[in-house]
Amino acid sequence: MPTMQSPARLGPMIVLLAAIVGIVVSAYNFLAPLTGINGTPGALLVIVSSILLAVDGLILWFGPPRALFWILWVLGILGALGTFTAAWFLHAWWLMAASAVVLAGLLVTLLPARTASIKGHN
Amino acid sequence: MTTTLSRAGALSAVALLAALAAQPVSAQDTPATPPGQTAAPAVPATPDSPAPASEPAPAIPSTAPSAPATTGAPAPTAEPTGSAAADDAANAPLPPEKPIPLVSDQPVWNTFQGQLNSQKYSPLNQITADNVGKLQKAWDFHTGDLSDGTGDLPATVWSATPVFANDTLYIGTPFYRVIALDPGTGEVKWTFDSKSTLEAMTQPALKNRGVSYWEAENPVEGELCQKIIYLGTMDAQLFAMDADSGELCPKFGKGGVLNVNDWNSVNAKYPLSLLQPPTVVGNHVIMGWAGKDWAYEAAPPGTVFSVDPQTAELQWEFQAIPAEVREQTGTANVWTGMSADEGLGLLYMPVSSPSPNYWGGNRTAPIPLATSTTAVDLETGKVVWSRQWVHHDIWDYDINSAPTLMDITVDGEQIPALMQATKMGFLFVVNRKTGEDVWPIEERSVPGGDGTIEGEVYAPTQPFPTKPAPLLDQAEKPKIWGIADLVGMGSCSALWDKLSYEGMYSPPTTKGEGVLAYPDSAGGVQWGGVGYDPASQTAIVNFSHVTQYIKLFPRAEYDQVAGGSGNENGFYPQEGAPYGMSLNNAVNWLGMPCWEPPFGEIAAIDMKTGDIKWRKPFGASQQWGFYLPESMGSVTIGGPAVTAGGLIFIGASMDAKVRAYSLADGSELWSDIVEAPAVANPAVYEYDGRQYVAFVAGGNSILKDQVGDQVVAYALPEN
Repeated sequence: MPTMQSPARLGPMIVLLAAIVGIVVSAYNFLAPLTGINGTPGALLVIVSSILLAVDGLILWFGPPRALFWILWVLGILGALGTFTAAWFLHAWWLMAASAVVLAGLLVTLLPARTASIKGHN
Repeated sequence: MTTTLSRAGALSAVALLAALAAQPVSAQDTPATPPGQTAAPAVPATPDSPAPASEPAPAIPSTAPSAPATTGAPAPTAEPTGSAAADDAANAPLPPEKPIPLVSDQPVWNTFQGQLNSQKYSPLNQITADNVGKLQKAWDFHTGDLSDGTGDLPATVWSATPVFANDTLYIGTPFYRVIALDPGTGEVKWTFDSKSTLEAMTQPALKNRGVSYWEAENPVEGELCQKIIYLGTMDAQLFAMDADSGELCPKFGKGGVLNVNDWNSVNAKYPLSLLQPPTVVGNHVIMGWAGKDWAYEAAPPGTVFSVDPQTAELQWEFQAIPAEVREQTGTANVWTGMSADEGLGLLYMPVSSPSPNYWGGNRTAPIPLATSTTAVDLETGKVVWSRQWVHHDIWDYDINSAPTLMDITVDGEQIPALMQATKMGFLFVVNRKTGEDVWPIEERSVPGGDGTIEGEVYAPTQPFPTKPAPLLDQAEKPKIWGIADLVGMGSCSALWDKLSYEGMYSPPTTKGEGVLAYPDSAGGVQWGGVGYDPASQTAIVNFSHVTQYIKLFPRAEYDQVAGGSGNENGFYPQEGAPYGMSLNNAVNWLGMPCWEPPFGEIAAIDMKTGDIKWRKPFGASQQWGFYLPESMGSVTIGGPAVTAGGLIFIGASMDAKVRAYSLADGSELWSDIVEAPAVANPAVYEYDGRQYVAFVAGGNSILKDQVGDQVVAYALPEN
């Protein structure tokens, strides 16, 4: 029987997965030839910012104390917005999409906590 | 025949003599006249106005070339037919015309500018505005000849146009090798390594602009060097090799090499670097050379040499500087490509400015062929006409691209014309047989100095074209880009306040941060020149908006403050002159331009009327990987190619993209990312029934620090 995670866990998981996608995309853009931004400081910057977002999501997933949660949440929002903006200037469209999903994950984190079991279809 | 050399020369002489006889004209006395406005006093030079009497030329006719070869350069077996042109007492007549059309009906792309007429036009129409969106990479090739400057070698700057000839694509590299490629697959046919020294002897980087091609009128099958490729090097060697095998041509110079530096006999401070491939016309291999700008007061004078294609025997030489001032100044060289009209028998030279570039106190006598377009007889090198575009040039406004030859119809009259693009953003259009204006080119008053520069004189007037209108509005300082000023915490505004400017041709000064130049050496149109569609009589030009500033420093002060220099920016000594100088781009601490975008544009000009058909921001600026919006455009180096398919192909932007635009309206129809900015002209050719567009993506540190070694060809899918 599949179980949906509570938003407290679901949100950070979305953040973590989207940030990992961002890392992969950014690393490709930095390393692969002819991406237009390969080897550039800008591409390196978003690799770092994506790694930080992944760390952010990971810590949020473990349910930190309330004060730390809010610090990490705000930093996550700023990091995602910054990465989104940088991706726009880098013409890194897939990274923009990943950053948008990170933002969505952070918003999901704020949904009222509940535990829900959803019965699978027979 | 009206000799326009006389007009330009006389104006220059009058200007300089007036300045010498009277007080230097102050800025207050001669306010700047913005281009496009009626100037007073204006000295209109129209096709109807009679040319002034010929300027008395120094009576030192010279028929002998200077310092014939002693080692690599063969001594002429017969006296060269040419003479030092600046010393000729009278202009040569037009040579007899030959029935050779200006535009071939066959696709030709065998020179740096595509064709000798420099139209960069291909009649191929397999790729059209409708199907260019399907364009695919057919092949690419990496030469391996690149350096980013972080190791032992200087950085590379590669601006070679691939030359398509002999069913082969030939490229020269900045390591001074030649690579012959299969045009359909990019596979290597042969390579040649000159083993030239890889030192930045005259330039801040290892540079190459490709190779030249010559073939005998009736090539003899199986005989060596009936078709020849020429490669020049930074240390002034010209290599000639068989186009089929890459084997050196033993009869050329000494074992296939001509040491042009053997002819470097006056102010030989540096070698005559052969970075631009020679212009090959008929039985002539004609070469100018590049030097070390801004380093010395007195430099080698700008000689152009014509040699025999198979033996390197000197045929004639051309001197832009009169003999009596040659030793005290120098340059006025031809460092970029030249054009030729074989039918008229004329070679068109874009001549650069004299030395030193930013102070003219050592060259107050007229040098009428400097900063000019000069037409010479192909067979003799004698001047037929010349137009000086900047009198007493103290801004380094070298004429930097081959003029584009075009037949145009104005008010129902067919005119054999040429268009000379310039760094200033002026497009001068004259009759290429006579040098006379097609549309009026007016002599307008320009600012004089502020009295701070010892020994300097100022030309009271300069030529301004009325049509096409100047590409940049230089009436006043460009507006400051608010975002850059904000990010720079007001540094742009502060800089603007410290820069003097009274309109175009405001002279260099020691005051404040110096004088604003919009543009100086980096702006306007660069060596790619103007493309032309002969069917619609449309000229295509890409150009930059760049604000720079020049400051002169008295010698003692210069020695204390001088720092480093980069590629065309920083401190330069002008050794021997009383002033060193600096030239900088007007940017904030983050490198953002202080002036408002767009930073580069591309425009189409209707040559029947001289009016702009359309103009649009071109390319995108990129710094550290971040792109600015395309609406802001990019500084641009490299030229366009125009095709009968209604397309413009061009690289030439900071963002290392190559693009196709609609010739009709300038809309962008296709693009691809290449390894580095493609700062040369593309090549358009047909091979085995398939049309290709090839780019060299080599980069240029004037745009940004990104180097490449890629040759890439595009074509439509085969199915």
